[in-house]
Amino acid sequence: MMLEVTSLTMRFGGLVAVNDVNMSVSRGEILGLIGPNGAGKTTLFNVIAGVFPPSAGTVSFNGNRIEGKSPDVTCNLGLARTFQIPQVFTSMTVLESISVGAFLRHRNFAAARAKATEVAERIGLGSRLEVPTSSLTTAERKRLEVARALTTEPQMILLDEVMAGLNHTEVNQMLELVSLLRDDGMTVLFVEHNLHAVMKICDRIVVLDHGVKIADGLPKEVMEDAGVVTAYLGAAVSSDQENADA
Amino acid sequence: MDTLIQLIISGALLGGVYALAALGLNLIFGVAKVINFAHGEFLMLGMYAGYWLMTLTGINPYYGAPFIAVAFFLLGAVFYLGIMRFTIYRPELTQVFVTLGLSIALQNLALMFWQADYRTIQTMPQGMSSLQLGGMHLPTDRVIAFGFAMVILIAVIIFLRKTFTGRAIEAVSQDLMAAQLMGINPQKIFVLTFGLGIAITGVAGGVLIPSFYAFPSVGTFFVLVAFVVVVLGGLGSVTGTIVGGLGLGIIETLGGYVAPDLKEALPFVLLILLLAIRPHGLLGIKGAEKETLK
Amino acid sequence: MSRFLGYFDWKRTDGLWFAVLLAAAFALPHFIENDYYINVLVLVFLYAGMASAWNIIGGMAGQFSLGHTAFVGIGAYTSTLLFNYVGVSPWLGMIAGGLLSMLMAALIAYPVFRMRGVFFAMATLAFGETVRILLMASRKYVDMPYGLSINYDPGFIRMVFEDRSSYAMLTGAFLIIVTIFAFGLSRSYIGSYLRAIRDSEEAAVASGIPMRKYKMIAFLISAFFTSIGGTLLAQYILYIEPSSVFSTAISIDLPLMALLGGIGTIAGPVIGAVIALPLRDILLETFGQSAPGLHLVIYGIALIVIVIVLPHGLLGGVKSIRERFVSRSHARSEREEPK
Repeated sequence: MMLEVTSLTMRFGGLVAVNDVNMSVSRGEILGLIGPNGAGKTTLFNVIAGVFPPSAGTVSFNGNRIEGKSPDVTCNLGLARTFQIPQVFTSMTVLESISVGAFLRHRNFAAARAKATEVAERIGLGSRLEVPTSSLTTAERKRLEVARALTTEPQMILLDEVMAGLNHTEVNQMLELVSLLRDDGMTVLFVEHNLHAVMKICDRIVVLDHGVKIADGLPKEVMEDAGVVTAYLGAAVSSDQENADA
Repeated sequence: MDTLIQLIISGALLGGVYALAALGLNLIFGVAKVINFAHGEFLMLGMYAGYWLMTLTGINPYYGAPFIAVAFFLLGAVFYLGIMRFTIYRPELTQVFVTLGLSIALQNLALMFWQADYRTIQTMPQGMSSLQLGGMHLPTDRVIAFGFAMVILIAVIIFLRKTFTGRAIEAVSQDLMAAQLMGINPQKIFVLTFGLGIAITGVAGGVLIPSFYAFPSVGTFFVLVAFVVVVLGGLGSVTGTIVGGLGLGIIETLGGYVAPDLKEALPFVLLILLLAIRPHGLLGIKGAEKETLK
Repeated sequence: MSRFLGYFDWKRTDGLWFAVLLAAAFALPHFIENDYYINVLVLVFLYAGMASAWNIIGGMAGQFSLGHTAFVGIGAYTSTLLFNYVGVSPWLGMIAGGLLSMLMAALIAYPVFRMRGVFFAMATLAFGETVRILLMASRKYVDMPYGLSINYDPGFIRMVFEDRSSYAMLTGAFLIIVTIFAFGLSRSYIGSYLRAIRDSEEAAVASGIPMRKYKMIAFLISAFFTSIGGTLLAQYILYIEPSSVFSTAISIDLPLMALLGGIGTIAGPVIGAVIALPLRDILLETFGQSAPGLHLVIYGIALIVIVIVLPHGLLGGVKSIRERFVSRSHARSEREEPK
């Protein structure tokens, strides 16, 4: 197993956002983590990414315990992430921005630049290298996030709602990008709202609801699962939990 | 034991004044997310206002407080409309240096008009300068200043919680976007907040002048003290300002008794330690210290 | 050597800029004979160097310290005390002061780096004040006069010179060394990391940057060079006291200069010093006689206006004008491209 989450619980005051979740991702797998609003997927994602330590439970990556470790340590071990709201380096150009990730493995300037250029071209930002990041479109910013994460040469990448805010064409382009990653043998953990996208690309899906894992299996199986259907339809009716995920 | 009680009481008196001196800074920060580095200079101007009111007209600053409040409210509104308006959605650095520039200008303006002399006034006739309270002597001016501080602080709390305008100010301080969507005009709220914040600061200066010396650079000390109070009590919290003021006053008085040489450094050491341990203050908004306005 | 150079991003024009800077630092002192102008030149070099040092932590890494006077003061006091009481040459005292400043910076880093933005600024401001107050309080326990004079006894080993042009060369060399260092940093991965931290701490950490380590590196380098500036200031004025070298005014001046020229850039602090110091001098000349303080009132107002009009300094202003120009021609060429 590449990533192994064991009995993970996360509490905020009285609220239990993630409740005793077990989950694993094996090498080369593309796993989708889905759930209605307030299900606790962003929280789970943040704990894995090292944003905050869990209240209980463990997260291990390639056999190393990483729960509560700072994100830079996690990244160094080969687990990179993107942000749902792209965090761009506003004073830099696209190339400079992507190079920031490349410096992790290549301190030599030319080597870092070469790596950054290579990734940028693969990601489809090759023609935008010298553009200031502040003038990128939302879709480009999302790509930039992926590029910055990829240049750290991870073994696994955590994608936080990369489809959010994209139109239909852009979603398809992003899907192509993710399948490129699959071809490279990258392991991917996907947190996603866009079910259509998840169904198309994922090898396996984990569904959270109210902080509890309610399903784990092949996309087709999961979508036919009665519990999952109720969770989604039920969520459409009751919106009181909506803010808990924020 | 008696000494200890005496120290705590005089510390609390000092602390009440500190709280009043810090309230304007906190109010403006809470609403407009601007740390006003010229805050100390407004306090200094308030001290001079109290001084000249007494010296020229014979009205002591306690009676004159309403006049000072009105004048400084206008000054605060001008401060916002003339200067801060241009910085409000700009990088923090702009706000820091604009208010620092103002602080340099105001300090030297005071130097220009009133020289570097240390000035103070006597408001109480001979024999009434201290109050007797259960065997303790308390300086009358401090007691009055403390009274002013408490009345104003409570009035501000009631204003923010109970009046429509006060609620609007609160709303802007919590979520500017949402407040705008509710139809609140943030410009009006900012003018009002700056006016109110500076008016309180002016009055604070006025009631401070009988117990502190006024001189052009006195603001440098007070801006840091005010900042310590705000951090101690919590950014954006008025109740916290009272707690922070009293806390600092008592700690400073006790510390000054133990190590008089270090009395001046105490607030700052406390500030650094406090920020290290609990950056959002005792009652503050968690995460406010990480706030970066971009 | 070439391996070492590979860590930096060199550009063709770099050499040219260095030639200009080098010429300015070593030729100007020879051409200017007027004592008044040489004095301005010395101060410009010195403050430009210290502002560049401030800029490493304040501009590149975006942590705007308002407590750098502590390092200026430590530098000035360490070398002066070592010279006056132990007889150590200021050349060595300068290094000792620099190391002591680094130690202080490392100690204060733990609490202050927990804050961002104005909170960091306020905490460092309080730090600067604290060091001054502690120094004044310490006079109760050690026998030390309020002010310290350095004997006017010219000699290279004592770092005291007869003519001001020697001071200009000395401070010019200081400026060049700081600039080269800052330049090297900014063009290496470290500079890139510092800018990343400044722009987005979250993304920087997610890119594998150990943030505290790099903030600390920037802070230590900045403290060291600022402290060297403090020693040079003491050697030039030959008299120091707590209120002159530990003063909030210095803490404000350094970032101010960086801001005026263009914060976070290499040339910015230098340009800022070239503007700010003569400006203040001219204002003093013009208005100093009429009323004490008037020149600083005008200076303060000028500052407010400049900061509002040019928030990214002169360089930023030039850049935005150029960008507007470029983007206009860009837009034109893009329209012609078939999409």
